[in-house]
Amino acid sequence: MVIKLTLLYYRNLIKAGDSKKVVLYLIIGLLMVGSFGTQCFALAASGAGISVPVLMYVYNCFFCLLAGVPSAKAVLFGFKDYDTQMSWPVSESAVVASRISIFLIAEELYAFLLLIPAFSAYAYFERPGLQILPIAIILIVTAPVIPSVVGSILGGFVAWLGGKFKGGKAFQYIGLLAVLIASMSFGMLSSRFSQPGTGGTMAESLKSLAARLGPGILFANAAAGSWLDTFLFALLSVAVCLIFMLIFGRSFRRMNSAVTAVATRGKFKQKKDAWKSSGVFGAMFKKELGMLFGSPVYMLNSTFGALMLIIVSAVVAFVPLSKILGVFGAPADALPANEVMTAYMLPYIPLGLGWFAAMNCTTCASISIEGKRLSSLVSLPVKASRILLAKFLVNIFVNGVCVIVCGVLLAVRFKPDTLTAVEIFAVPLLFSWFISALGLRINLWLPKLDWTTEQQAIKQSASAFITVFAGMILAMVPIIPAFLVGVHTATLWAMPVIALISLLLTILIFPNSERKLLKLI
Amino acid sequence: MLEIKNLSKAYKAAKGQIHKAVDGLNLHVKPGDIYGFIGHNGAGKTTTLRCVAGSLAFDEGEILVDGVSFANDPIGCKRRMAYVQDNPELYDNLTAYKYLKFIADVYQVHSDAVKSRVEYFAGGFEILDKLGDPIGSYSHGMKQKLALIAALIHEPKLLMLDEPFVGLDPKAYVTLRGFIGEIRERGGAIFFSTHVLDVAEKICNRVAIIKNGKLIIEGDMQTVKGDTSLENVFLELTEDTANGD
Repeated sequence: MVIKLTLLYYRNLIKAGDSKKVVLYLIIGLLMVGSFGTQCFALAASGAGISVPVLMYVYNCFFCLLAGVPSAKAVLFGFKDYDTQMSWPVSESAVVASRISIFLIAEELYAFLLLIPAFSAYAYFERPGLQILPIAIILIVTAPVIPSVVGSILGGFVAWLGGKFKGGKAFQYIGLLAVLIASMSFGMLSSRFSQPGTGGTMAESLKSLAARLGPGILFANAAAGSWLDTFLFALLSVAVCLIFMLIFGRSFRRMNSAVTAVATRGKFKQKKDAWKSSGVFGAMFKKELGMLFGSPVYMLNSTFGALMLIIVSAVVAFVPLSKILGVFGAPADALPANEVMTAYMLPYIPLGLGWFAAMNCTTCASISIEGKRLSSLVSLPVKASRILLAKFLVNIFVNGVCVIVCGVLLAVRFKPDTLTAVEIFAVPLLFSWFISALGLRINLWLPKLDWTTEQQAIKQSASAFITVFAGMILAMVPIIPAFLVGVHTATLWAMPVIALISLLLTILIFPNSERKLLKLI
Repeated sequence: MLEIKNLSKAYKAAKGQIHKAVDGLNLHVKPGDIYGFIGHNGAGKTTTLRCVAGSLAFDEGEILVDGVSFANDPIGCKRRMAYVQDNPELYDNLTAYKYLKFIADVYQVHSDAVKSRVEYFAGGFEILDKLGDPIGSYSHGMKQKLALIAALIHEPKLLMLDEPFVGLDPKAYVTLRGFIGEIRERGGAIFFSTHVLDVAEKICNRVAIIKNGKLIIEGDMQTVKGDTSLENVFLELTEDTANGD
């Protein structure tokens, strides 16, 4: 029964006959495995040995926690068919087990992407013998369990507290953001151990880092070939999962009611200008913003790039470069003076900001998030092109505000020449245009309207996968010629090219908008 | 108020076959009509309503709302009407106030008019105090009431309702009947689908029965039902056609 309920979810996610999406998922998955694989093989080739799977395990914990916290509410609680499933002659524990399975299968993706290349690289260079194969399989399957459980407890707790009082949504954002930043800090800390060529020292350092994760030390010893630690790690993971299922299952209905409760605001009082008109387009734009900021899952997943933009800019503006590089393991005494490093790095900042701007995409889920409401939206007396334009401009707006804040911050801090100053604003804005157009076009092509949890539309849809991945890769393209022809020249050449691509994508979106939207319903 | 001429809409069915959901439908809803649209599940009622609402593209035919052709001026048509789905999907993360404000802005209703209409309609449905709450906290019936308020807020000439009485409490049902009567009095029309034949018989002055996308009978309620009940006529006609008559 648990398997049937779990399959029901995934069959709904990828409908039968929807081979186009399956092929796309496979291509993206292979590209991501290739990307992580290159890193793993490069590390292993430099003699990092056992450190490679341990490092990827640390990353796996980071990703599972990062993804698990906002997902908990959407997947474990308040799913659309909750009432239907609970009314079936199925035990409550079967429903609970199926929801946890759905959650863990989704999180398992990170373990596959990170640990398969890591163990492959380790096995190829270190030749640990055939015993590594069963050990690796056990570790890959069980690795996401503990961080995912921790993430879901944290996410559920934040959602529960957020639903308790008026203004709880703001609390949810702050809570989720805090967990996000804590996880990112941990990820950054671990990256200092990823410098190749440090051999045994690196392995020891990673072991000590893994030890901080608690069961991580078991993973590190298990990856080195210890069957006892493999057994203990798997046992611990299974035990944590079963205990979680047991506790969760015993009070599932009560927890679901608590987590999904929406705080009401008491008697409605009309303010003086409560109904002052915003105009048709203003209304559409405000509705889009309301949908974005009204859903913690949508906001945190779609504005991740904007958050990164602000965090990175604030760090670069207020923390000396030597200290930042020190966090990544660079020896302070070997670094040049801060002024020298600043002069060297400053021209690269526009492209860096552009990369983060290209990670910020609300449009790739903006059609999908409408779900069955798309039909009502299309029946309103608004041109379809305006509906799309509102969705398009929300991403530009969110990115634009962040780019202006970050640009001013960096311009004041580094006092760049005029050209660089213009680039600091123009490059990320161009990338915002590019990713907004790309996301919307892909979402028009691959919408996910029949979702039962927002998560399916926002995070697990082909549209979101392709847009975010393509955006990140394409935004890195101008960085390569920057090392060959100089960063200013590369940036100046990249800008019109990005503008042209963005223009072409935009042209592909707006003509025949009504026909395009009606085709989706 | 609403003219549907030779409307056809087909869907792709399994194995490349075509299923005609609406087949050459002709209807005329006049100002002041409360027009009941009756048929079995899958008869083509919702498809017809969605084609008129503009949320579904149709293959053939013409739709005119208040004399305005949908093909020539879809926005003008939509501005003259309102459509409430049988299971309204609203924006759970928005408050009811924000949702009504959005609808009022989209239909370009003057702020003074919005204020008085919201007070009137939301007061009538007894949810005025709850407009500050997120729609996600609403029950099904409250969502239905909110969707109706949103439909009434711009005083449409044509109000289209898909199973409007499902989910409403008895008091809200009486209130809605009152609002429908007011639209009729000012020369508007109501075109609605229902399975509740008693209700249709009680409040409609005209009725149409549809089966397999085709119109079986249409006309004044009294003429259609004669001396018997609407339920008897409906059962008789739909069984007759099912037997190939």
